[in-house]
Amino acid sequence: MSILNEISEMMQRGRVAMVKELIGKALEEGISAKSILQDALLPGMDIIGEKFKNNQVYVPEVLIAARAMNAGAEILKPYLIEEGVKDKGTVVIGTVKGDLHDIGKNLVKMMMEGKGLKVVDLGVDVSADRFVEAARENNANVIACSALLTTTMGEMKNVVQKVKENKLNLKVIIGGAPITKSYCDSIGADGFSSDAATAAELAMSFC
Amino acid sequence: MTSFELVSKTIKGEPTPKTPLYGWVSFNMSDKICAKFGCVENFEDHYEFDLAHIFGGPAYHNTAAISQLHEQHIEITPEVYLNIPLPPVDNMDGYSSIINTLDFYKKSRKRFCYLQTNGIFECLNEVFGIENHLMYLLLYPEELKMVYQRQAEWNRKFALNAIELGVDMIHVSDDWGGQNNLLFSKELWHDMIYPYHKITCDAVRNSGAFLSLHSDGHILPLIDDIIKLEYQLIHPWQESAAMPYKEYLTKYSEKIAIMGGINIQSTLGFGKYEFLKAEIERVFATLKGKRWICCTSHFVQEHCSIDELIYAYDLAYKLAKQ
Repeated sequence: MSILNEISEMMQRGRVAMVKELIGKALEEGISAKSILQDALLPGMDIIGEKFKNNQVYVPEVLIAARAMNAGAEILKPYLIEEGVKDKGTVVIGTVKGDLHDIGKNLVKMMMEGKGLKVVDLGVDVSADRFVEAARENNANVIACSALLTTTMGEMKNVVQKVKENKLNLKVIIGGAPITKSYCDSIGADGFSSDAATAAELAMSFC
Repeated sequence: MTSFELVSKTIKGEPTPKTPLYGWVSFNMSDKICAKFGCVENFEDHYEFDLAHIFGGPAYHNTAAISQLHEQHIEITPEVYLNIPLPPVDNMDGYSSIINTLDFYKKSRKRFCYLQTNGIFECLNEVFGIENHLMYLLLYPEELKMVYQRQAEWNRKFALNAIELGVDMIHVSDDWGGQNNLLFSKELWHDMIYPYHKITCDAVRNSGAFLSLHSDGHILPLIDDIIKLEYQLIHPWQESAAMPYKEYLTKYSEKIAIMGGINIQSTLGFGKYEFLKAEIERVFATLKGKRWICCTSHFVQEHCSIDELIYAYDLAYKLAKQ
């Protein structure tokens, strides 16, 4: 097994120490940070995302893989800057105003990072104005809104309206337990996803 | 027939003259209900609620020590947590609210009283944080089992103390489901959760009290094991989380009762009265007499108006009696 495959394998199993050790070894062998990221970490996270979508793995497996990926990416960060590697796009993500649930949003964030996207996480209880402000500050390609409650999902419509009012050149995607395709269409959002892995793919398609 | 008898018979699957009625209305709706009815108890009396949902009891973890660690940004792993003793479960001062509530609902109203308790997973989410907790299931399984064992013993004693005070049913709250699937694999649940639920379940069933489970989300793959644990009632059977009533009626209604039916996520509280009426009628037509207690699927949300709540319960009350 090549060292890149080994890194990918260990990352999928959530083995932080092994991932760090193998990345150090790969860098010593002269493998570029870009290659480690693009040929080991990101494909590994893709596999986890696909398995999650197909109910082959569950939330704990995704969480430990994402933790290992972040540990690896942290080591690679200075090398990637040196090599001039850029993010594939920027997403501003948050749970909408009035809603304090964040596990779904966090899963989406991890999947998006696993695609090589820069994700600006605004946390929970985020107003439409704050989404727009952060998107502008970060020159985002996508705003991703999450809601668990039917009582809060109405705020997504405000986000879409604010984006239009401010003439921002970006896409708004939405997700969460009560969200449906028809709701997405009714508020004029650009896309909706019923699971974290598909949300990341959707965001990628807009970057 | 008293409410206690009605609910007991329903849970056991015996014929009853009406459908038991209840609702999780007090949490968000108290002010609106009080303005219209004087107090929540008057609302409950007006609709002849058959159950009382009781909260309270001693603290189940050392709040001060946990807060201190959180403030210091120290990660509370299972190993760290095992060094923090649990508060005493036999300190009866912690049970005063349970005693007072039982006095009111059980003695004077003859209602079926069930006590909310935290399941092994839910009660440790506050300590670890849910995401860390989910990761610890895979990262520190052996240490986590030791934490669960300790907590399960505490939960068992708490349940038995409450039963001794007169609680009719121990209601274990432990969310295991997502919108379309389990939060963790069935195998992991079996290895990590099942044995520590069994400790409380066995104790409660051996005492002769009733036993129920609350879990939001899709838990269909676990129903057989939930029955094996001798849970007698599930709240809610969440139709909106890919748990069709048909599945319940064809496979499980002989073995376990369900409570719910008035969906607060999509039905009650949206001002769509015709839809609300049609939904309540549909649920009654589907579940009435099938080991079912009519109740809200969760706490009624604060966006529900008092008029809509009254509209829903006027109808449910009428249908329950038919």
